[in-house]
Amino acid sequence: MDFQGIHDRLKAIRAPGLAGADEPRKPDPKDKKDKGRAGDSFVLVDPERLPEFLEVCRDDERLRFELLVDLSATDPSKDDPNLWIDLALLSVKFRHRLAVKALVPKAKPELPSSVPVHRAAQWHERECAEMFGLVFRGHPDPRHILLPDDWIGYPMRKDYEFPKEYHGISCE
Amino acid sequence: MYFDYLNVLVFVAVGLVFVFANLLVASILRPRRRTEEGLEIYECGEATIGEAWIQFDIRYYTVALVYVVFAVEIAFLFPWALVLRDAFADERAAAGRGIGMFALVEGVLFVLILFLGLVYVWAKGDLDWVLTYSGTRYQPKAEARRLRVSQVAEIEKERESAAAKAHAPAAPAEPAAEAG
Amino acid sequence: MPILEHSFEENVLTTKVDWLINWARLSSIWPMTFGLACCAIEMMAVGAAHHDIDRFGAGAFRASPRQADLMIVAGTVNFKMAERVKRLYDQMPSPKYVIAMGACATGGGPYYKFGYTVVKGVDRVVPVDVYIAGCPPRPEALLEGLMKLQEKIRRSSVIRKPARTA
Repeated sequence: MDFQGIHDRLKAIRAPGLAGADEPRKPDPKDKKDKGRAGDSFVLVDPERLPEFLEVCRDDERLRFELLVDLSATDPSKDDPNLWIDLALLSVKFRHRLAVKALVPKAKPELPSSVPVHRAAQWHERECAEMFGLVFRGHPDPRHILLPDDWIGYPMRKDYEFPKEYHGISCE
Repeated sequence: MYFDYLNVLVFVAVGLVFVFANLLVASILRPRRRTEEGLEIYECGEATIGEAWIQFDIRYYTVALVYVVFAVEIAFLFPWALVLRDAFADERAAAGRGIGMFALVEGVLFVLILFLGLVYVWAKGDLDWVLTYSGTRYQPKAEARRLRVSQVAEIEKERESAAAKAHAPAAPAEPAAEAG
Repeated sequence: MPILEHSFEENVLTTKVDWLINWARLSSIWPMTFGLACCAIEMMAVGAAHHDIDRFGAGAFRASPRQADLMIVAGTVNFKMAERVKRLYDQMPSPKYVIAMGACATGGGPYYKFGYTVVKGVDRVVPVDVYIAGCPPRPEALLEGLMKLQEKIRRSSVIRKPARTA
């Protein structure tokens, strides 16, 4: 199915947490300020309902998104009060893909963990947690995966400050 | 005759000198820099956790034991093989009271008995490295879902309608899904 | 054992003995396999047939620091790895040498500005004898670095007293 078909199906089965969608568009010739949007079509989801949404995507007979390809996060800019969670789903049976995004406020960066639905999310969520400061409630193993265990700060946020030294080794 | 043993003695002495003279010279010439970190136990750069006296797998012991038995068997077969031909062809054999046949049968019997021991150990499964799993068969927690056959026709219909829609707004439509 | 290190005045006998000891040491520098990143591939090329490092006597790469004289830090050093680098350097027996191979080991490399987990040069962790520039350095550059290290060993004084600097 193409993106329209998938979106229609999600609306038809009343997928929990579905909050909207966006498709790439060219800049509006009448509006000088509109730069359009490049990129892929995506579906916007409420982060609190994300695991249920993924479960429905995985189990519905026409969607069958069994494979979670990617779960990452983005900090668009220092002024943006939200972090984006970006997921990529793939259906091996039907060979269609879906991009799912969720907005999480930086003031309270918490959302439930998708590990019960897709076990592949385990390492991806660990990386997002240590790099962005996201808290995945219910994650079975919330350790650092890439950074050392006593690293201070969230490196992938735009307002990250580099440390002055680590364990006696100067970072200047 | 004893001169041959002197050869062996010189050989062993040269070997020992070769090793220990090197160690002696090195210990005189090397710099004396013993540090506490240098005397730590090596574990690929990590700090060590726990003792190194762990319980070893018993399969190593079984394999080594079977090996020792057969190595000793080979050690006994070497001198037997060397004197067997003489046993058949010396002066006692010519006089009709030779032990050649007796020695041959005895040797073959020795090998056969140990071979039977090997067959027993092998058949009982003591030499298996990968052990067979004797538990129950794996049962998945959830039933595997399958696509119902009636869905295929629906999907084909949908593909046609999507292709028909593609011509109208001139938007590119991805090739619809094939039946799984 | 009488301690012979740095205990004799410089004369014709001690210079010859030192020459012999230094020649023995520089002709059999055994490196430790310490390829951390891309420079490791160039180090492997140096160990292979074309740019043979074995003709310098340094072809016996030892996996254990206990048997090695030389640590060629080939690749990027993270903070996590820096701890292990320091520990392995301590576990090497003296006399030991370190070659910092490539831009990352010399001074942080391309990760100098934004790499938050990259140590800006391995000389912040272990003392380095020879630095080799390049990203990655060609195998011939690594061999030249090895020859520079051999020059350094040739000049060192083992049983002679070291030269006094003013």
